[in-house]
Amino acid sequence: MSDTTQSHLFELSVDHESIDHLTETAKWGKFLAIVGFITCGLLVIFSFFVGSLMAGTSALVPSPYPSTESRAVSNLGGAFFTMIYIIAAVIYFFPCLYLYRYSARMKAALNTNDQTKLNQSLKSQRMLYRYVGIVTIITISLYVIGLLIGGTEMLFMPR
Amino acid sequence: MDTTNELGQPELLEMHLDYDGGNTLLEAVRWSKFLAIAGIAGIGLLLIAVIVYIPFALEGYGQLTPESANVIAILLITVAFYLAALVAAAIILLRFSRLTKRAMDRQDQLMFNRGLKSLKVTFIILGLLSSLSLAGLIFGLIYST
Repeated sequence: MSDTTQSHLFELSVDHESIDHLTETAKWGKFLAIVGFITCGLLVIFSFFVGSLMAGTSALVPSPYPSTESRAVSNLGGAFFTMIYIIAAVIYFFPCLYLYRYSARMKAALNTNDQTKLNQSLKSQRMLYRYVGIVTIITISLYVIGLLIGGTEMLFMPR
Repeated sequence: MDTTNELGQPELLEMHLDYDGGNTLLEAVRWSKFLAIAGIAGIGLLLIAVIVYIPFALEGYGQLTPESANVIAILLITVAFYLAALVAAAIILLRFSRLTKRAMDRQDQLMFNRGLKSLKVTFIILGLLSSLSLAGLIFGLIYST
């Protein structure tokens, strides 16, 4: 078997119709990625405001605990939510990056008819779907574990 | 290198789905199928929950003021439309994965193009929803400050 046969294992090609679809997909993909980056930035900015927001609202609510203790608790709560938002921004950043790479490489491949760039673009697309798929599996697993724990607690709750 | 076809027109396109690209695309298609099914199931359930909740919300908030009931109704209906659009995007993504997989199995160029068209439509829907979400987020941030 020759190299030509192996490299042409798939007989599908990028024809004019494919180019139209891929060009527009790349444009929208780039736009989605940029919107995603902006959202990540807003999440990080907002995370720093959450802490002060929580401290402010706790000051309005009367607490049975001494003021130093309740202030410490509200600061801790604010820091926790800040951390959650930052983690969410980091998790959300990577699929946006892969999507941006897919779009930029696809556009470059279509402009220069470069097979290598096309393959690199497809690899970025695969990374995108794989990453989002793994995050989805983890999220679903956490939900199931939470439901199981909640259900078990309810079953064994003293009446 | 001769890059013209038999009619003497330049062959603009020299790219094809080779071994490397094809295997990469196969894996992408498998993951996108999983994501589409998870999306349809998860977002679909959420959509049903929102639709079921609307009459209860109207009854509850309607006891406060009629204006609050209207606001809640508009908000929930907007959320329902948003979720419905996401479900539609997930269905079209599933179509992309099925068509592309079948096209690669049968080496069918037409089916491959239809798959790419479905992927394009998915990205367009997600792009429009993202811009609406971002506009809403910015408006909400400005309004809250």
